[in-house]
Amino acid sequence: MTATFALPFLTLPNEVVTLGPWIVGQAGAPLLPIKPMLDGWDYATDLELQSSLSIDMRAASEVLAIPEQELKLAVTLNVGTGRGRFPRTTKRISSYILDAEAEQLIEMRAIIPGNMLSGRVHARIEVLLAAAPASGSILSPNCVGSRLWSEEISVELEDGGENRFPIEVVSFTETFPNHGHMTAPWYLAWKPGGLAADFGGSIRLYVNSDHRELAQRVVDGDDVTLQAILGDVMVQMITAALDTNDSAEQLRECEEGSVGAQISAWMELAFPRRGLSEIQNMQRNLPGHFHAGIHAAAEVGDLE
Amino acid sequence: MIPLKLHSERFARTGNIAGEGFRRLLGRPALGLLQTVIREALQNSIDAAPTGNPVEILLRYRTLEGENLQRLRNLVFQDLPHQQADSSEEEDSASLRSTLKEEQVALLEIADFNTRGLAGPTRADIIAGDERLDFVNFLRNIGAARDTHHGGGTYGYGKTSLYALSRASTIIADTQTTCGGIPVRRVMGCHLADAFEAVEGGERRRFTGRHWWGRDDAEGGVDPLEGEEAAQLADLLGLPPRDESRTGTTIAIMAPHIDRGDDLRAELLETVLWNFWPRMCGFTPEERKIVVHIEYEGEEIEVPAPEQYPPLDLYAAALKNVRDNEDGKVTTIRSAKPIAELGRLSIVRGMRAARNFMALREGSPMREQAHSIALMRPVELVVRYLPGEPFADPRFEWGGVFICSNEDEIERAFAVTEPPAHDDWIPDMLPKGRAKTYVNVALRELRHHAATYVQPKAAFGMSEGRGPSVARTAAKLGRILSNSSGKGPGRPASPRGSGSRKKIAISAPRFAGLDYCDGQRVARFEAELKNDGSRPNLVLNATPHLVVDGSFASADDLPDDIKVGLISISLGDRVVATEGMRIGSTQGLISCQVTVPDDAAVGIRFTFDEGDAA
Amino acid sequence: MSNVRLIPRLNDVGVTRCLDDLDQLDEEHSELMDLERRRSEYEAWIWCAASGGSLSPELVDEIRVQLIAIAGQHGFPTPASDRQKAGFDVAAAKWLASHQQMHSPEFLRDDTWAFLSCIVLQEIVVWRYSARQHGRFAGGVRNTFQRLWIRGRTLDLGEAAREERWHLLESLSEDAMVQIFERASIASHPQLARAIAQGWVDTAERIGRGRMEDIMRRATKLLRLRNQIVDLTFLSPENLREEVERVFARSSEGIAEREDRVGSGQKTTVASWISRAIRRPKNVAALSGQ
Repeated sequence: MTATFALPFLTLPNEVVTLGPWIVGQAGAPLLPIKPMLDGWDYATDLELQSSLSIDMRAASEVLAIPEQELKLAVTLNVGTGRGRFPRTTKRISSYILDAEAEQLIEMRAIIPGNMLSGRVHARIEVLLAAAPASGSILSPNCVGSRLWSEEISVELEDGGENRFPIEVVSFTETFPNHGHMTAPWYLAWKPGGLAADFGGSIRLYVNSDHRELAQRVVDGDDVTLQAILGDVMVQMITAALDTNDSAEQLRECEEGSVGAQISAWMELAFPRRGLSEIQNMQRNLPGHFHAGIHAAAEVGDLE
Repeated sequence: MIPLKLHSERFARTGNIAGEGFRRLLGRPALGLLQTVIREALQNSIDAAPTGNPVEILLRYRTLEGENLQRLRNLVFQDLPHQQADSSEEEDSASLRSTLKEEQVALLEIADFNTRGLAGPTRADIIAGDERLDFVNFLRNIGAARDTHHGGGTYGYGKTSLYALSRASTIIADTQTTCGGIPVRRVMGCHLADAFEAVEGGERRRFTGRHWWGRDDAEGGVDPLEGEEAAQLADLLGLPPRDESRTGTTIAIMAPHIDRGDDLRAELLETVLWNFWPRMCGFTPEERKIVVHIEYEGEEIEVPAPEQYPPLDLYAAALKNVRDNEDGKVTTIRSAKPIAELGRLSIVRGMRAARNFMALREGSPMREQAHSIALMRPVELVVRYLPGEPFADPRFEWGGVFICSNEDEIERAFAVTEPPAHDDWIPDMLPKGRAKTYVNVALRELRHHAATYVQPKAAFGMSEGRGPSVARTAAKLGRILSNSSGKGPGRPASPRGSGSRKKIAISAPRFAGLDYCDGQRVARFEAELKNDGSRPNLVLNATPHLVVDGSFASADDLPDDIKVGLISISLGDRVVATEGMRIGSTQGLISCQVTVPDDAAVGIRFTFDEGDAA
Repeated sequence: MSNVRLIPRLNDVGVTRCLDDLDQLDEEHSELMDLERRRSEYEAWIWCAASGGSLSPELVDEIRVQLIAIAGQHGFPTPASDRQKAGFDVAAAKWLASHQQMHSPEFLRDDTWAFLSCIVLQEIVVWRYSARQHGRFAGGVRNTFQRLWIRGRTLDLGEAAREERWHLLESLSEDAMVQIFERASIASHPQLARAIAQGWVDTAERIGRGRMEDIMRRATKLLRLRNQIVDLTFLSPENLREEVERVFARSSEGIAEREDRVGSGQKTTVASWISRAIRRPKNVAALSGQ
């Protein structure tokens, strides 16, 4: 677990908890190392997930400042499915209780029926405090269920997930006949009103495969092409948000993972620490700066 | 019985190959010495089988001591080479003299039956006409090319390894064979050592280091002991019994370089199975079959069928596919230019089966998850195993078999790339040409199959009717989507201005530790500040916040005791409180201290600010 | 459950087209397209999983027939009062949640619900909301039927609960439902969602439904804050209930009891105050004592 935030009690670093590699695949067939996508899945395919985890209990007891004899940990495996930042539904598949005497290598194995999975499989392994210790330091965790270490994986099964930009390369003459944008190089399908909507569920970028060269560059992931397209996408969406009457209020309401939250993040990226009204002013008075600022922020090369 | 007579070879005026050179001819086998010896010996046995004869092999390890050892000393090696022949004793070798003085001498015997034995004349200088030169080639000549059609041993170097395996560089050969069509029994001892000089007949002479024990040939050399006498000596030494109906050869290797014990039993069994299983399967045609018996210090070791000895069951299934050209299970490996079928490949996968206890030995090639292609020529002796990518899922494994085409040109191409130990295909050994191309192409294709079997590349035709895969592009574009990976909202912010994005930047904050000071919980966060000094007035701010659902949450409408506060920001020895830090031209590790409420998680985000220019 | 019944899905382009058409319609006060017309009009954007289950036009028909019937019982097609709409929500949620073939991952997909709302049951959505409320047609947590399905499935206390089976579903206000089911971190854990629903019911009984909105907002935030550091789903049902009670008590601090309350609720309050008292001095040690 790479901690980006602090919990109010001592937690376990990666040196104490060792997670083996995840392997995943069709139940009964050889499992493969986990990748963001699993090909060839459908509801009729049961999935199998495996990994192993070991905890150095002596080190854990030192790190948590809880005497080894009083330290009881639980290792839980939760599996979830469904789109969104959090899976739509989550189930605890197994939990193991560890103490100083227990076998310290846990083999985790879950078979998930295909007819319980939707779109993706999400798994979270977590180490929790299983029992309140009688002693310990003031910083020692002391509530049952205290989260001490965790690791998540998500494998896309059916369609792209929210960590990918929803994109499709299609022929516009076939897909959007009689539309003004039939010959456009790309088209962003979205509805400006839905700032609260889930980003992954409401935005889709269509690239016109009738423009062969462009489509090829998109498929190849050409940086400049992607920056141009993404810049346009960001301009569209930021502009639409700025043009909303009560944009400030609406954007504030937006949950993480929503269109609105994404737009806010893009504005922060393009115009750090600028207030909404400042950005709106720029849009009106310095449209060139406004557009170029966004296009500059749309750089998709490796981020630092 | 009259003891054997020693003949130590002198250099002829024209020069001979000295013992050392003889030893070097072996090259460096890729396998362990014991494996090499068994492979070579058994290949020779198979080559020595008249067509259509199933071969029987006995591998036997035993220890001579007391009376039995004394017989060896008295009857075979009473006459020992010059003291000067005892080369400086190296780590792993000993002189024959000192070996014979030991209380125990081990023998590794490799015997074949239903083979021709070492036929033909016993002297290299006799013109044999059409007759075979097995005896001469095996015990006298060096480096003579074999002429067996599609034989396993394209060259006859194998025998050298026999001496290398013996600590005393000494073997005894016992053969029941024919000479000029007449059955004959022959026994001879051979010792191979370094060249040396010694005084003989009052003259200082140079010797080649090759020594033979047999009967005086009245011309200054020795011939093998033959006939009844030979049979008697073999009996006395306890060599495997033979008579005219049990033709073949026994090679007894003295004091072999191997450790006795359980591992040796397993190693003997494994070497046989690992290298000769194609000839030992239930479905192997009778005339190609070899039957192997293994004896260890008088105890017979059961040799299971390869089909019952995982992972060979997978390889056996693959071999059967190739043999039967099983529809859909065999891939033909082709060369495009010149157009040729180079051979056939089949790969079979299965659940990783429990191993026979013999294969559990440390270092056994059969212990781990199988993931190789067994390379063979049509003679169906394993040249080597070409490893590929194993299944990441340790419960599964795969094994494959490739047999090169039996077209003469192709088969020959593969045969000539084999080094003397026949344990590899090395096309570099060949001059440029079709043969080299064939083997190169085949190996390249096979490596590809081995590497991609577990994760086959998506066939291009598959995406027909659907758009191209833009998964990679989607992921790349997705990088600019924030925070879906739960990294918190602390996306690196950077000051405006073209080209300045990477010059002043701060990494995502990471939690660095929790302390308890002055009655409150204090978390430390760290981040890396990059600063080219171009905007010294820029102010770095740190804003701590509560964390809900993995990301930023305000403390609005929460009870008052749930709040976070910034205590300090430090960079090097500069420490500021909540007002933010002018970055100047400093860069490095930023450290922040933040108070943490008793009951909530806390994150931090960094932002830059123009500061008061005035 | 064996074979998954495959339901057609309407992709985003189709949803956008459909919403555009609805906007047009509304302006011209013209009739909605009929079902057949909608099916053909948006055909290009309706798709199904290529494999993995059986296409089930029967299930789609059944959903249409049943939901139209339920809507009919609550006023459809004549304009409905808020009370009628709420009644429809509860009845429809019960039906959706009890249908065996709808215990299927197809219904975790937004595009499945988009198809049902835009194509199959468009007139019900227009009746229940309006042609303008796009979020009620598109898939997602606010979709007209999707939200009822997940509420029903999550708050179903099971047949064993007999007449209490739908107690939570029937008791919760719309605002409480939104607070629970539009927070994926809560909604994805049914036991947590039920515990919070129960906490709402208990608290509302104590202080009155009318004053619950702010309390619920604060309580869910506190619980999510807590869930960030302690896995609430790892607690035993009793401990989870105590935890939720404690949070509701804290969120409603200073709000007076409902005067007409019957005695039974009093205990809850006392228990809540006790647990608060235990907790206050030092970080919840007492709670973890199991």
